[in-house]
Amino acid sequence: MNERDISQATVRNLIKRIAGIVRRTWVHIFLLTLGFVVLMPFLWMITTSLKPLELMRVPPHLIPTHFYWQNYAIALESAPFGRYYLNTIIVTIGIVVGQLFLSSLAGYAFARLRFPGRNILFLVLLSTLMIPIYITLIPSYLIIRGFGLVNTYLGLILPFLVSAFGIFLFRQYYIGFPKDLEDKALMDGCSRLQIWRHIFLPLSKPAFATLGIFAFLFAWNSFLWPLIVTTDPDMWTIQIGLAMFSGRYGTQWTYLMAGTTISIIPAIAIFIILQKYYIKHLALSARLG
Amino acid sequence: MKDETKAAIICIAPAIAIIGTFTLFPIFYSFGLSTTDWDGLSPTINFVGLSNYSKLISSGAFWNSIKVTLYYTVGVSIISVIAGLALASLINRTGGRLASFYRVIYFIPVVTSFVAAGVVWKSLFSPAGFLSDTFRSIGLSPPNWLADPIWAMPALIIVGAWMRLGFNTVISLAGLQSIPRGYYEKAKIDGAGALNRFRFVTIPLMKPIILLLLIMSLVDAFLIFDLAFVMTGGGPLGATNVAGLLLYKNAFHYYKMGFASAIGVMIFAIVLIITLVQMRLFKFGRRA
Amino acid sequence: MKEMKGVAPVAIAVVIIVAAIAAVAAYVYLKPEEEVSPGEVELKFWNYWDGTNAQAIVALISEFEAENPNIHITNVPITWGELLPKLMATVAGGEVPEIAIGDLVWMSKLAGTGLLVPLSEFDDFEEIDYEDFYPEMRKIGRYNDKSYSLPVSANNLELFYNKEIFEANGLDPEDPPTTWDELLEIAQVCTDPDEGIWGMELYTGTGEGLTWQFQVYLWQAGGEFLSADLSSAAFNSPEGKRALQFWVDLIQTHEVSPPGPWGFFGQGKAAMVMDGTWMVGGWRPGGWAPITWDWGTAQMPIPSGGEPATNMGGEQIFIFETTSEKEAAAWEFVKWLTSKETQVKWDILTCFMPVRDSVAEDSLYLTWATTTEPRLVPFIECQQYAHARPMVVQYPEISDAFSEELQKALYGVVSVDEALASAEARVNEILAD
Repeated sequence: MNERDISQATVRNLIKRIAGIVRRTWVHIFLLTLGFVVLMPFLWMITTSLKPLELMRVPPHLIPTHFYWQNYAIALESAPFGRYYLNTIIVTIGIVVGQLFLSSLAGYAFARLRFPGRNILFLVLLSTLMIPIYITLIPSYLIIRGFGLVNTYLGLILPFLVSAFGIFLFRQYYIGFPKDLEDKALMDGCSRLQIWRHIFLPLSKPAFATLGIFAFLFAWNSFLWPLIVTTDPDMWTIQIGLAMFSGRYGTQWTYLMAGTTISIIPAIAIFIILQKYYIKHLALSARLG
Repeated sequence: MKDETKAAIICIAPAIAIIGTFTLFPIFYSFGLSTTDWDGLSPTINFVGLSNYSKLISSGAFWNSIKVTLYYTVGVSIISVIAGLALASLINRTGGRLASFYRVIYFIPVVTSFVAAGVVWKSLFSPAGFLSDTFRSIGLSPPNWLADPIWAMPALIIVGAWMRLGFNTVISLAGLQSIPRGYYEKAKIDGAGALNRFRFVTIPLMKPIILLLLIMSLVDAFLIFDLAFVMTGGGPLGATNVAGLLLYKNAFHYYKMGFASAIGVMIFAIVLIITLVQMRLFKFGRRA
Repeated sequence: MKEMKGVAPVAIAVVIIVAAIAAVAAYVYLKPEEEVSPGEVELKFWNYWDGTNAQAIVALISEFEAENPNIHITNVPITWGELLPKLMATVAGGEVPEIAIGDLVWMSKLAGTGLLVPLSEFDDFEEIDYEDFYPEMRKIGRYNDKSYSLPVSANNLELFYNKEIFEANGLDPEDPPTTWDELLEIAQVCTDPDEGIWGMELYTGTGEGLTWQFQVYLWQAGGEFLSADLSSAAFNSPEGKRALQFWVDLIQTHEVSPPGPWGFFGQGKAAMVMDGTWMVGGWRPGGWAPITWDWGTAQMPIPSGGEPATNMGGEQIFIFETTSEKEAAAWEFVKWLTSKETQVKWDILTCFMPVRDSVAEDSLYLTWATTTEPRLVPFIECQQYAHARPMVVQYPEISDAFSEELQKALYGVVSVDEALASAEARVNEILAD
């Protein structure tokens, strides 16, 4: 090889490199623009919530010039969003704690214990994941009504205290642990439940985080069940409050967007904090799928 | 073995109790209720056999409901799965540096509630709203979106797909990233260009994921309720009167619990069929 | 032994957690009642008043509480669409509110539950001057010779028009249309597709909104909604066809009416609309949806050979059976709210129509109406032409079905004849149930 060939090869490589960078930059530009478009409704929501009613229809500046916080005050006055928040927090905590605790327990049993009917029971449990809510909705409502739990926190929480998805998740998680993890403890005379409490539970943080965020989002964003179980606006959750607010102030977007922003902030915040676990779980299911 | 069983009982008893009470038992309860004409209030319940079902089958409103629900379901599934795959491919091509950033951005609509999304998009779709203004500013005449029987469901589909996009993107991305580089190298050596590499390496290896996403999307989208309730209430002309809404109105607005239970059973049957058909195709997909 | 040690803590933990959730729920849920000292009564008042109306009722409640320190009333506003389902849901299983209002057309259903207190049985019923209420409204609350509800507010529908749009199109802003033909002409002049401006806004959404607006046109043309014995539909008649054809002409033939959604007039995008008295309160400066441009009201235009008519809307107030102590306290509030003095204040605050003769003739009210809010005058003058909707238990279902069938004609999917025929079939089917 002579020098001319070498420098020609170097130039070719350089061109390829630059082409690669240019291509990637275009892709980034496209993705960022698309990301902006995807988030546009939220940007519109926030900027509209900060404008006075008269300027409602004027296309928003990218960076608002004034921050008209009064809309939030008016929204909070017109509907008891504080009360809705309280209700939703109580219900969400109930559902999340219940699901975390009971799924871990049941998942442990299915993963590490042997008992008659285990596989059949697990299959039945799994199959419930495919059952659409509409065939269980009316009877669940009637059952709750029969227990006198209409319009109560318990009525909102009870049907969702347990999650088949959560049990599946914890079983997968616990099955992965080494088979002999419990052997020493068993030889020392610990009971199965003590083993769960002292060995498995402390090691479950990732699973708790994962199920935690799924359960939180499910509970926080839930609409249909709270809609039929609550009668008194005092017991409404934030989603119902928002839907009703939209019915009454439908064309006054500034207040409406203030109310909407209020309702989605916790979900987005929790997601951003715990997104690592959520997305990791999705990625895992993708590979297993 | 005995104390294992005892421990197991304690561990799974609450789960079995709740799922039994609120998921399994209600299935039978629904079947039973669907054979009555109960209104949910009176102390007496009349058995009417299968007349609710014959009413449903001959009801134009019911079939319209199924039709528009399927329209929504298929629309959202196809758009969001294809877009998710495309987006994931693009993100993959950037070498993954900003991948986590993009994942979060596109995912935010996924964690928003359908109610909040519905409220925001309803305002955007209003004739005085942002979208219509944008159309007019570029010289097009926008349709009356949510008040137009032709455009109402496409509007819902747009929102539905927007909400699913991030989810499908993340899963597709994980699938793409798990394809060994070796396959692509070999294809490059064999002289395959980018497009052919996509056709003959990516797609076949992604088949299981694509099918998984389709199944999840189809079953999930069929259950839509919040979006239709908030954005259109089922109109105009029943163009968005999805199955869930039909059931809700019959049970809780018209006081026809027996009839509504029959609707619930029909929905169950249809979802079951969709799932079984998917699983058959899934099996074919795997073998190929 | 060792197994027991393992089982017990976990079992106890499970019980404790469930109990804790239940305890927190019970505490928070029951807390309000703990604040009531003996002798005090807590009442819940369910209604669907919002905006200025909500402010008005809250102000009046405070006034009542000041005069009656033992009674504490919580105002609970629920949207119109959900109030009836929620009331019926509590009837089935839950806590009924002590006091509530119902749309006129719900009263048959509500009284039919058997859970309303017969107000006429109260000892001091004669003192409320029952004959002072308008006869049409009194009829609504009466069953088996007892009164289960009292009129608390009324409204009717008349024409609103945008004076600025009139002027911009060379029309006299003080000369609104008086006939259907004029309405159509003016609508055609004012419609401007490029600006997104419509001539006349009609309510085309599913439900009572459409039904009760359409009924005005039907009655003006000389038709009836149901037969006199309330057993069958009567709107599939030449008069019904004429009314529906007019709507279809506005929407489809001449395209001066938008097929939806509702709200154009309030946004300044429609020249005319038929709406209710409460919107006078809402659209005026200081209302909850204030309009900044010039607008006026007028009697609804009538068809040639037709008669003026409007729809009688409003609410009735009633008491659920609870305890005699609560019922007595609730009755105090009901009496007070429906008394002439309070009604005058209420009507001035909300722009609702009088339900009592004495209010309509009250000098304070009349002076206010003619000087401060003259836009109410057409409504007051047309109150005499108000028709009541038929009182049947199935009215909500009939209304929904009727609107659904008519929508098909409004969207051009079926002909006027077909729409009326299928609406008739559905309504008769519901009535036969």
